[in-house]
Amino acid sequence: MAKQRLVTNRGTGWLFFVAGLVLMLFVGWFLFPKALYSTKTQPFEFSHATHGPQGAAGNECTDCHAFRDDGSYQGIPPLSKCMECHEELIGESEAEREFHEKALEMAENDEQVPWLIYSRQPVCVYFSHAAHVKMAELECTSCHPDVTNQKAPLPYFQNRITGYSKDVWDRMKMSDCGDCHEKHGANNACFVCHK
Amino acid sequence: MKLDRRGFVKFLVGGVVGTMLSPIPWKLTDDIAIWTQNWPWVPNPPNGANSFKNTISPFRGDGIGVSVRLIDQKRAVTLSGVPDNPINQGGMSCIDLSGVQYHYNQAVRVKSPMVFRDGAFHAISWEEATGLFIGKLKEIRDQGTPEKVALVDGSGPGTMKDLLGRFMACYGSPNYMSMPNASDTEAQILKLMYGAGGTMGYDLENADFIISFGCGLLEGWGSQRTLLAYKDWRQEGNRGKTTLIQVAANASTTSSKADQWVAIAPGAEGAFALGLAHVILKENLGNLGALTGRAFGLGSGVDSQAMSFSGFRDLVLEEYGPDKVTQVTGVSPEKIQDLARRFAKAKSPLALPGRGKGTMPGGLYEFMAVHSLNALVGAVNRSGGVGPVMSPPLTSWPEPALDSVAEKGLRNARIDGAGSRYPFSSSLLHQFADVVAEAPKSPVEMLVVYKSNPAHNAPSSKEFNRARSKVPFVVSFSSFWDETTKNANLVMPNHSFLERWEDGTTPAGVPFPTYVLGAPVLPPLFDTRPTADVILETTKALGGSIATSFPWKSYEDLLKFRVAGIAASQQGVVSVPGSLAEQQPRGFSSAGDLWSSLTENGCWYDPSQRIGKTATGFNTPSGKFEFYCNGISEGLRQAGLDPKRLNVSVQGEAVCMAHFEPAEVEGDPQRYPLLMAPEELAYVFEGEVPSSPYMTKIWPDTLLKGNTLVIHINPEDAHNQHLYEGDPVMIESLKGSAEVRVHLFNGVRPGTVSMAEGFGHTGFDGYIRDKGANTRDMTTVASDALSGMPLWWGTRVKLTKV
Repeated sequence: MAKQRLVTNRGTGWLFFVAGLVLMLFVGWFLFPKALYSTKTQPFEFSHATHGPQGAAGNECTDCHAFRDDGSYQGIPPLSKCMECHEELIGESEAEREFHEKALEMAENDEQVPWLIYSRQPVCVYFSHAAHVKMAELECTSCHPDVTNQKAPLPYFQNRITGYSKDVWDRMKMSDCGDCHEKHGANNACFVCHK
Repeated sequence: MKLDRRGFVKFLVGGVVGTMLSPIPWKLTDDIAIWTQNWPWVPNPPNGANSFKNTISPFRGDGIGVSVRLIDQKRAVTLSGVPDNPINQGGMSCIDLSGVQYHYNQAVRVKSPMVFRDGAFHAISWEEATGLFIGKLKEIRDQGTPEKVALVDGSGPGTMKDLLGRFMACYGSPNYMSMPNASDTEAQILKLMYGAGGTMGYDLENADFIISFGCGLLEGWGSQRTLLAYKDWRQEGNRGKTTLIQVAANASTTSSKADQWVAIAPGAEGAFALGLAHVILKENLGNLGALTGRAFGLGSGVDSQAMSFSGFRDLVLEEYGPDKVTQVTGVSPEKIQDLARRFAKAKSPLALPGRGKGTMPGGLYEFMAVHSLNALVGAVNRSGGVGPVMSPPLTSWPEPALDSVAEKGLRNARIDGAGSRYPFSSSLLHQFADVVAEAPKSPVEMLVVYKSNPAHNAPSSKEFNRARSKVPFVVSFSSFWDETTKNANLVMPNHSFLERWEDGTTPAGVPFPTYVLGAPVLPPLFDTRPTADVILETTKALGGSIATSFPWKSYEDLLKFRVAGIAASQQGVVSVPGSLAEQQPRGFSSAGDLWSSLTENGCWYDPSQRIGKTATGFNTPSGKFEFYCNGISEGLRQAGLDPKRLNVSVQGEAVCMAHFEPAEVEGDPQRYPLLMAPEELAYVFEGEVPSSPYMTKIWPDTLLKGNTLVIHINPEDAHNQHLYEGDPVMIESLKGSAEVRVHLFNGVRPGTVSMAEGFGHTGFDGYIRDKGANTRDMTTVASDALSGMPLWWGTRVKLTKV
């Protein structure tokens, strides 16, 4: 009997191996990434296209994403910057009305808009925008996507384990920093980024 | 086809291979690593807008300007040097850089007033604490014995120091003491040789040939300007412009960075200076023209006590020939002659006294020898030289009102003997400790400690602790759980330096008058109060003449009163952003303008009063610079003292002039064959606080191995004692012992052991506690023959392998 069973499975046994392989490849490459990230939306519908140089507001990028006087980088502007224009209603859209009302309330309570930051790095990382933009003269789009014509915020995919955005994984990992530093002959010592 | 056991195993293996070829394991591993960074208990400081406020860092007592970076105006994160403060010009020491750690470290801060009762500390209210303090002060004063209150002050020169001294005087106690410092000896030199008050300034920036007699220029001697001057000497383009000669027993950082290191026998610095003076006088190399008609006692004369003398020239020519000096110093006659000639021929030669960081007072005669050498080469009151720097023109304190109790109390001799047994000194903490420790009953009822930690840092901490244990009531104003505070009866914690007003007058060595002011940057973190305000409140509660002498409502009011004097003088300038770089300091129009400039930018200074820029006279009895100090003969006569009783090794006129006093080091050389020299390092701090947690990260294994201190010995001595690198040994002196490890180092002179200061703490927190051993627990402190100042540069020790 034993001999007969061996003969029976000799030709088809590899199919079980392939089935397991294909199943886990499907799970690993297709289901796992979907399960790993939750999708979040920004608190307000913000359009770079409207605010940017080619939009109705006609701002320069640096009007909001500016260096402070001391050389540090502001990143996302504080609510006070938004209120310079939005303290009064601009237009009649629902999105504007909603933002205007909530922004007034937040300003009164000394709160900030809880924007989800696609490029937020762990606190153990020291990063200087001045060193990269002013000294190394890198374009913003070397690291960030070009959002000039973006009409609505992209969905924010948050890693359920780490809490960080998927975009950090894509192009802002330590290895990406290290590769670029090596390519440009910049210092790659640990303490350059980890103080 | 049927799924049997074998088929199932194949399915699993396929699944495992599939998993390994997918991102699952690799991504999960990475994410889990990142997840650990975000555990809720991992500190994650919130981000926010930066702002900057200027204040001063008080740790080193040199009033350096610091800019505090604040997040959202409420959280201090870093300190950086203010570029426009002329004292530090943006520079900082390790302790200043990491000073914020002492503000936020809850483990070391005293969070509220505490009283020691029933074997433990208990938190009490401020009302109860001040009630206890004032009640005790009243009780002692009501008994008519105000002299039974003593105070130890560790603050640098400034209003707080004056306030505490004035408080003690108005209360009626002469027993106000400061932590010993080289500035104490400088003050005596200023009085005896220059006839001046203020501070001693050294114009390092403009000197071109410097002989440093053991000064740790790169370890922290003087102010931050010393390091800036060194940086300037070594800058590209300036090489060769300034020569630095380090005369020291060990290969310190300064020795290794000097143009020449002259390795001399420990304690022989004074003899070496006089050896150089001998060559200069014998070969007529000096620049005495600079002092023509303005020097007294170089040649023969008659002093203010009508005693004739033959003078410093004869003394030096007779007693300090190179051959004789060689015997004492171990430096060859040729080297002495060569150095003396190079020094005298330089355009701006300058000699500097004081060992290490300047925390150890020097011998009075040794300092006199170095200043005599400066006078011989014309360095006195000259650009690139040395001279008195006037105090900033702050409003003078009004004459204090003294009632009969205060007058009676002040008539008592000080416990430490300063002003009586030692007429030239104003404070001798080690003598105080000795007297109290040996007395059958403590002559002190209450000991108050401010901004210092004598239980660990006093010249002989063991003696101090013996004395402290005899005092019935010890009050500490410390912000930190230091060794003194841990053994106090009452703790009234001061605000941290970021929470209180602080000021400072010209620090050691700076060649022009300065005044720095720091306003509070942050609200108090804990239930603390500024000590200055507690003292002012106390004066009001004590009432009578004491209250009258302190009319100010708060310390801020007092500081405004003091600063008004500078405004009225219209002297000097204030630093504003860019003022130093552009060399355009700003004046001030009114007291209000000066006050707001000081609170914003922190510094007033008067470059027009720089050494050599103004004609400075000498207010000595002779009206001249005194090689022969009339003040010594007068002081001894007035105090009715015979130099023999003071253990001065010479007789006659030499008592009043610089000469070499052989070091008296306690202990039997047979039993204790080695000489331990405490070493002060740039990256180890010892003061009101010890080294900060950040500083502990930069200590090498040759300083601290695990928690064991590493001492440095010469390989020759190690060979004689069969010791090898890293061996654990017991170092033992007459006073104490400690287990350490040895590091073999040729930079240590044979016969000596180099042991770093700043370790062996039992207070504070785990970053510094129980690390290494405290040199002060084993030092045998000698008293300088004339001034009585403590000297602990050498202690006899033996090493035993364990």
